[in-house]
Amino acid sequence: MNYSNQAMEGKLWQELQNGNEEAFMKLYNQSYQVLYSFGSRVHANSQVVKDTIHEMFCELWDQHARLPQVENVRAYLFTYLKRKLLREITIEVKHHSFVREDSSRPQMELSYEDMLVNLETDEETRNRLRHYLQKLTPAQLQIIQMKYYEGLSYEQIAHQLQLQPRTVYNRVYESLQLLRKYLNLLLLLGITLP
Amino acid sequence: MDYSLYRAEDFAADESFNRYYLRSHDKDIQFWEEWIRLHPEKMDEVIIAEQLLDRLFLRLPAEELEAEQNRMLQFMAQRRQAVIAELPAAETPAMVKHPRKRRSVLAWLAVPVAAAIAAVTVYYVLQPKPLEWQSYTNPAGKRSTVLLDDGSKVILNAGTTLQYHRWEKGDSMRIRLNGEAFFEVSPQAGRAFVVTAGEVQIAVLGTSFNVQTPANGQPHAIALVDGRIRLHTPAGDTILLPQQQARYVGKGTPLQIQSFDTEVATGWKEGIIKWKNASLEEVAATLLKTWNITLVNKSGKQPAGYTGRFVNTRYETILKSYCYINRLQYTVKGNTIILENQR
Repeated sequence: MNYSNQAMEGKLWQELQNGNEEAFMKLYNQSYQVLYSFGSRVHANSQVVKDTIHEMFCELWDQHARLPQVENVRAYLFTYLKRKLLREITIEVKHHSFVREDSSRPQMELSYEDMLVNLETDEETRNRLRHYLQKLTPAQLQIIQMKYYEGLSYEQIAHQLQLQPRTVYNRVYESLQLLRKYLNLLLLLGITLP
Repeated sequence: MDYSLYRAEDFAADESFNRYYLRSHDKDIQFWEEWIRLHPEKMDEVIIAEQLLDRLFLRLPAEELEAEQNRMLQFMAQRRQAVIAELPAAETPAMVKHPRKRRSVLAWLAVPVAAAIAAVTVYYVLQPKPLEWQSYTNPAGKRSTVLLDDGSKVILNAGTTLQYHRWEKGDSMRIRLNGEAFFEVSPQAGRAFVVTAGEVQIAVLGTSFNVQTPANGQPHAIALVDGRIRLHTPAGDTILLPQQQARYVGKGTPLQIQSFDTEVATGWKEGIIKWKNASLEEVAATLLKTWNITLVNKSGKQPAGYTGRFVNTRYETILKSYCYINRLQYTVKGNTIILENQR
């Protein structure tokens, strides 16, 4: 995020403190997707992530008059969300109530591969995707993670891995071709894309 | 740069297209919006590219994001009402549910509310009680949950209108429905819960069931999940047992009772669309109800019975699958989708 975005979110935050609905929804819309992908890194269940983000914004609105002054709004939201999600995990572990079809436990450290797989809604599709992802070489997986998860440019990845940018691009392209095959398979099977 | 030869993989690998997708740079957003507008023939590839990026960026797909935004807007609307009227549940029966909220954030309103409820009660004891109907309409492309005053829960499918009235303990509850809804009636011994859905009346005691009023050529359909309900139609009364579905074609014809597939009948609550050997008319009725799009068959053939299951999908996915199986192709013209034979 660049500086002007940060300054704008600071402004929205001030207006939120004054109870400005429009500013609040603007902040919601601007930060939703980054909060969602951040949340998916902490908690494996996408419904829990969605519910927790919703709850967080409900709380922010209800307490808007008592919100603290915040230097970096996005960092504040990340911390807020993370704290809530970790509390969810603690509750789930305590009550053993988090029983899922695949009986996998929410984990603190998920690999990018796990996170991709977890987005699928049912066990069968998750297995299918895992099957496809296993066809990627570790190098390809690392490169798409740097590109899409860490948000680096081809130049930056090439610099870090001591490769030609063209090679990095080709690795990404091959990975995308494979994922597309997987999407085509889902389409043929009449399974939905979440 | 000639993008007209681009495939989904090329778009998804393109850094400018990524910035458009992430909506992070105005210049790229402007460029790609314009480019896509001028190249409708590339729509399929662009959609697949976005689906690839949804996954890789771990993003929430557009329609799910929209559902979340609507959930937030409903919450805001509710708070606004609560603040203006200083009267929560009693005055605003359409409490849209917030899952997993553990504390009532309205607690601080308790004192003025108690006084207001007392005042309202006195007023109602003096007056004969007229039913004040209130109405809640769910637009196309949206699902929502309404909590009624008596604790019952109604999940509304897209394009559905629910009418309800104020309720106090001991009252009977009357509901009018136009569209499709799933009811979870809270058990309240000794009082009636009656749903009027077109020509059919449904009387309930603590139960859950799905009601679909006639639309787009499809008949009334009432599916009972558990409990027991009595149906009253111009043709007479019938008791429905769990896992039975009653279809009523209208005009006083007898009810057809049959078993049903739970996901086919009630899956829409979880965003599941499922068909078993469905006719083109049934598929078209669901698309119209859910996304307000009209299917027009210009292929000159009657497609075979269609079987498929989709979870929180875009309609493009359904159409592609449907066309693939029936060797058709489709073109989008505004809200109308035309099916033709593959060239």
